Amino acid sequence: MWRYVVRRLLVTIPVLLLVSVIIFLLIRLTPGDPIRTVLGEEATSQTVAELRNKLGLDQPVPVQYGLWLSRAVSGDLGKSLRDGQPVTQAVLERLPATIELGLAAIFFSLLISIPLGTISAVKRNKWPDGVATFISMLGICTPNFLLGIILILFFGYYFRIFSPGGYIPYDEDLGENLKRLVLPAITLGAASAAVNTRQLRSALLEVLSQDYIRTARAKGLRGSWVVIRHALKNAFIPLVTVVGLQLGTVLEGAFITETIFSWPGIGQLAVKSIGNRDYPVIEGVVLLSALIYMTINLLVDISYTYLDPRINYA
Amino acid sequence: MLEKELNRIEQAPVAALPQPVVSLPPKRRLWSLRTLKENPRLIVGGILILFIVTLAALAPVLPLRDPETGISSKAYQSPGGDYWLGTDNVGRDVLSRVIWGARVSLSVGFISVSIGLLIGGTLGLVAGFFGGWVDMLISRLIDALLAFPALLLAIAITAALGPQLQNSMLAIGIVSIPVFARLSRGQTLQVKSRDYIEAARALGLKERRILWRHILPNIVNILIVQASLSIALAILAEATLSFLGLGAQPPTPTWGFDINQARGYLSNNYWWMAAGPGVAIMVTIFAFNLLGDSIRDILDPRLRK
Repeated sequence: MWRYVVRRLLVTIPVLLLVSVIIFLLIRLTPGDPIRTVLGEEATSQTVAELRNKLGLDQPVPVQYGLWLSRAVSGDLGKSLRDGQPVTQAVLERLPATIELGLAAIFFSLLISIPLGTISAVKRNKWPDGVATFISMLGICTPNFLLGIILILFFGYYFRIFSPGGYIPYDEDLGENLKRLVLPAITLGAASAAVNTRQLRSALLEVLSQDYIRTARAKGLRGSWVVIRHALKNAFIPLVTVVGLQLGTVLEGAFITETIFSWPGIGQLAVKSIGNRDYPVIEGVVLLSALIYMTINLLVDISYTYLDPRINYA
Repeated sequence: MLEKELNRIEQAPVAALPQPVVSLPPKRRLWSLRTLKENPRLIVGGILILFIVTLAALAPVLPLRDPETGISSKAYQSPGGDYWLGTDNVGRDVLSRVIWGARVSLSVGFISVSIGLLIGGTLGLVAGFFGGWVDMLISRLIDALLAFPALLLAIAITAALGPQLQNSMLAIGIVSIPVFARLSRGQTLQVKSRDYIEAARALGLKERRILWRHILPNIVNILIVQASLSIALAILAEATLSFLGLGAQPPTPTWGFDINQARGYLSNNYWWMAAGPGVAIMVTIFAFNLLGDSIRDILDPRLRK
């Protein structure tokens, strides 16, 4: 297995380099002059030239890439063109809020999908299955920005149960922090909940048709006990994989959710920076997101070997 | 005797070689009456899509109000009366904007998936068929594209190229390349090892001919299934990009942008500004998912119960 892990890590290196080239070129391909955008049209050509020189933007593109990459490797992603804050610092400051939201979303999705998927499989083709299928279809077809708006409308303005947006750090007021977390977490987790419900349903149906389940039933074990103790345990394996991969989906969903709920995470930072054409920040967020996403995929791949020893990577 | 037999094989028309179909079982046609009867989901999805496409196509000749200019005295009208779905903040007809918005969503859906299908499908085909360094190069490139969360990459590309309809199509197209490339590579590898490909090689057929005449027809079905599923995702991605202001620019009607616009008026209880485009997105994504799922079930006999 270690050979597999090492090989998998080695393959990651060229991919990482390619990722960095893509990000770097993407920003450099941008039409228009970012320096002009920052300084405004009325800036003199001397000021523009000075800032361009200071940021190294007057060098040939390969040199710029080399400089950018060597700095990025040492954790220096440049400074925001808007407020001069180091990008690494800006991203790290906002990362905890995104992680909190992401974990809450995954928690919500499991809270909904485990009972719903189980009922759906156990009551296959009966009305509870129909209801569960309808709910999960609704979850798949509703874009998260639409769901966010519906939740804000009902729970923020009609019933006034939750605040329509904003963030309070948990070390300031844990109760308020959690209360403000509910709507964004539901918004972000709904689509995953829908996918997980379908996934668990089909995994459970597969397991429930196995011989050992029939044996357990034949022994006279209660139906619910068989499902909980024998079937669910095995049906969780594919679910773990799906949930692992969903961490990446949650990361991209956070861009929208954070914007709607004014949640100060890296998603909101990126969307704001796109509006401001603050390229170093966009580069930083995209690079970090790609790194997180790749790490998650790597861990999910490696966890296969633990979860299912039959998989041979030699 | 042997020489005679070899001559006979060489002169045999290539089409006469056995060509097992990978996914589509024999005598199973997608649009046969029996298939339709057995798959109500296919009918529902198909009818919904037909309805949406027809509305979108007929938008210029339907008796609709101008979707781009409004009458300020008619702003914030609730649904009913002259305005079935109400009016927005500048007095534009929401119904008219929803129908015109369908043109944008559908064209982005179809065009971007075609970009992904053509580029990704070809890359996968070439990688799987030639193997070696070509495969390694293409596979690493696909891995690099897959290293980004898809929507994030689409956002980054559109932000870099500039917020425009064409750029959002291109961005969503690029993002969908990896799915098609991986699928097409995997299928090519499978088909490549079949006996009839060996036979075609033994006959001395050119590589290019084997690739286009014998491998491509056998993987095209599965790519089409993926395309029908990808359209729903592409429409969702377009709505998200235009929600962020990165799609077609105002006053062009797009569902995502209109919902974002409505967000500012939620506290005033003007819910209908978001309801029209919201329901339109949900129904369209539902229809394409239904269609894609049922086509997949029909073409993949393993999934048929």
